[in-house]
Amino acid sequence: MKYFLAFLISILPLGLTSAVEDKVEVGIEHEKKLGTYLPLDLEFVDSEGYKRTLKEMIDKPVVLALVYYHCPGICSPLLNSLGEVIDKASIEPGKDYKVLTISFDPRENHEVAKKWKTNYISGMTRPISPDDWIFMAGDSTNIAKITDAVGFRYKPDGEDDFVHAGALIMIAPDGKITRYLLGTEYSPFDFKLAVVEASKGISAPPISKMLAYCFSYDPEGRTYVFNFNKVAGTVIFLGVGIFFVVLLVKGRTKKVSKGEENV
Amino acid sequence: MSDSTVSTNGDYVNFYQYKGKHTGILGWLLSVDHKRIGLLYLGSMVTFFLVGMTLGFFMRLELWNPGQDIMGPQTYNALFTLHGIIMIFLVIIPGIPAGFGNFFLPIQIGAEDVSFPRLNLFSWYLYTIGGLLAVASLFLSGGPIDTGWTFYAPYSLRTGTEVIMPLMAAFILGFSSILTGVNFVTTVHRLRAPGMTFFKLPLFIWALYSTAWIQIIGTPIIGITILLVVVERLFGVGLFDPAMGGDPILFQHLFWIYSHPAVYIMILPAMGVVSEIIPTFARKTIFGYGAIAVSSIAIAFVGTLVWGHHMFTSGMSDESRWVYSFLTFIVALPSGVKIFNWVATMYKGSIKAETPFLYVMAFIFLFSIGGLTGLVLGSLATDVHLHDTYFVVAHFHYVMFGGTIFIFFAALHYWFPKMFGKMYNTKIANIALAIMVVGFNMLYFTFFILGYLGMPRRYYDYLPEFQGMHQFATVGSWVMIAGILLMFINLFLGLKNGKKSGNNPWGGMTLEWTVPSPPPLLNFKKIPTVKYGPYEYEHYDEVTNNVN
Repeated sequence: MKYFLAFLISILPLGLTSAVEDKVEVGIEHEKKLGTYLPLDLEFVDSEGYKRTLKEMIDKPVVLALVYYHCPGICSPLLNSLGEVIDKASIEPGKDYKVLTISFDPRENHEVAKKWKTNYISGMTRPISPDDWIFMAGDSTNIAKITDAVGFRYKPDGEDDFVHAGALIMIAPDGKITRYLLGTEYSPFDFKLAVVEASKGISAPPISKMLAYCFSYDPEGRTYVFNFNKVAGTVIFLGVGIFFVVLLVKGRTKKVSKGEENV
Repeated sequence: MSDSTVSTNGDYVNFYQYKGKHTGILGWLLSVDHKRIGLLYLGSMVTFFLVGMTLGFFMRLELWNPGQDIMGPQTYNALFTLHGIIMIFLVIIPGIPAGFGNFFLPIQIGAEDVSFPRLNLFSWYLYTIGGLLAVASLFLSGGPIDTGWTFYAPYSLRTGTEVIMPLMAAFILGFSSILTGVNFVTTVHRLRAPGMTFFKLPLFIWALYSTAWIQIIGTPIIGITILLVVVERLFGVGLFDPAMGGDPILFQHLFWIYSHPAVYIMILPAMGVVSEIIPTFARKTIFGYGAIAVSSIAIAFVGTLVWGHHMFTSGMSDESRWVYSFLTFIVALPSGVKIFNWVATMYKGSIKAETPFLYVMAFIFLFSIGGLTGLVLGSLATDVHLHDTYFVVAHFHYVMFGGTIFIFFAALHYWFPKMFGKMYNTKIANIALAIMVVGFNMLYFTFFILGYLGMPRRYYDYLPEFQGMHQFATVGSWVMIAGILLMFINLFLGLKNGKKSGNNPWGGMTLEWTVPSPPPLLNFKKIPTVKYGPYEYEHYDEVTNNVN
């Protein structure tokens, strides 16, 4: 117990320093925004270069993904998972729902969006019409409004990149936010459930409450944890070994006479 | 126990009649007699079992229609968490060892009590305090815990519900488990009757002995893990929380290093009971005594090395995955050894299909389904698809409920006459079993199909196309609960009005059948000397006529 406490005290400063460093308001405020409505007059540019409002595009349940196209982190895995779940789920894109991907980096234009669109649409197993998975870019005003409306909080990271979280956001045909699918992996079951709910306008809290964040993560830098484990493990095994040897060498103590147990 | 259970039987005083320093309720609460403590455990467990069953009943009711029926998602999360915590930590883990083990371990090895009787009573108090803390946590400000019984980090670090109190409950329950383990190991080593060598021990004792070792070795790990979660919640140390540089996978490892061996803590004693009941009702020595005894130890040993198979989809290197998968398949071997030996014991036996034997038959059927579907989950390729679906839920209910709890019921029917000196209505007990088996399969076999079709576990809602199967399962839950209630009512009536059972109603050969029912305070007039193995029916008359 003493050693255990000593261990805790020794790692306490590590925990505190890392807690201070990571204090940023990045994430998704799903609790605040669930059940609220998107402003449908926002305008974005689609991959062909045409300006379109959200109102024009949201005529059935919409799966909204906010990413930026030159993202080195979770955006590609997120869109890959989205593509996979569209392939697997037993609902028809275009008939039951539409997918909308919007870049939240105002420096990206519709040409980049088009490149990504071609890439993803051609990678699908289930054929999907270009009208049903729309890739868009926008200006900073509209981006600020839409990220604010869905509670998507991010911040710049270095010159080019962002720290942000990943999620799919379900929008009902009237613009109501009905569900967040947090993280970057989606089960076909959750996806279908969310689309069915969005088509009825029922909003429900997220199923998985784990967010996936996009920032560089370096397992090599945390070797002290593993070193500690190795040292502690060796000490424990040696201790147990020595204890057994001692027990074997000392042998049994005098046999307790039977029937003396307290009743 | 009411006075009606007291029976005078010739010139001896049984342990209910014995007047110690304390009488009445204190005679139970302060008794260090292993039989009274065993019954205290059994009473507490049956109570908690009924609570857990009620929670399960309401969960099934919520799933009658898609969407919200009788409760919201948060309540549903709390219900499945509590259902798990109560059934695992308060019923199945302590179930057979602490209840029947306490009562019968000393008698079966020819001892007057366990090695440390006061420690034994202390373990029951720890168990009760743990149970009460778990229940009390429901009424604290944060609301009931909603993490699932596995307390996975980082959610258990971040949820606003009351986590620390149920964790402390599990911590205290762990201590109760460790102390019982220490007590049993010592008792088996030091208090065996003269002539009772290790390979003349009844197989129930072998099972309890293996279990006790897992309890001693495994439980401290969950204790430390729980403390680490508490420390992290209170001080934000950053051990498991990735936002602070911690590793949530580390939590899963630590959790399953205990909790997988705990699965064997749950099933090994049940297998021990089966190895008692089958020779008694086949009137034949057990086939492959040594193999069964050693396979208990083998399960206990290999079982500590397979925890990684809970984490195939959590992020793990391919090497670790196939190694864990391989080891998981290895554990199936000793379990298979047991099943085949039991069946071989029945071959050419003179079988009396009495109630406990029928419960064991139901067990073999259900447990085989549970065990074989375990292999489906133990293989990497299929696990990736079935992970976190109803298939997993079906699998562990077949193993835990169809395995351990059905044998808990079998043991209740097998040793009921010994514990209370009375007999229940066996016809009603058999009917209750039939109803239970039908309801059980309606409920849980449907889960296999639902899981295969993609229904995820722990959801209070589902897609409309699953409604038919969910309703079928819910009806199954009603049938099963009706069977369980019928069984308990029948046992209760047996306790109140049952006929006297005599000392050896089933024709058993282990030492508990040589003492009067209910047994006297120190079990034996004179500590017996053991000459034969526990199931050598060719010496039946010699052993059983030598009544204490």
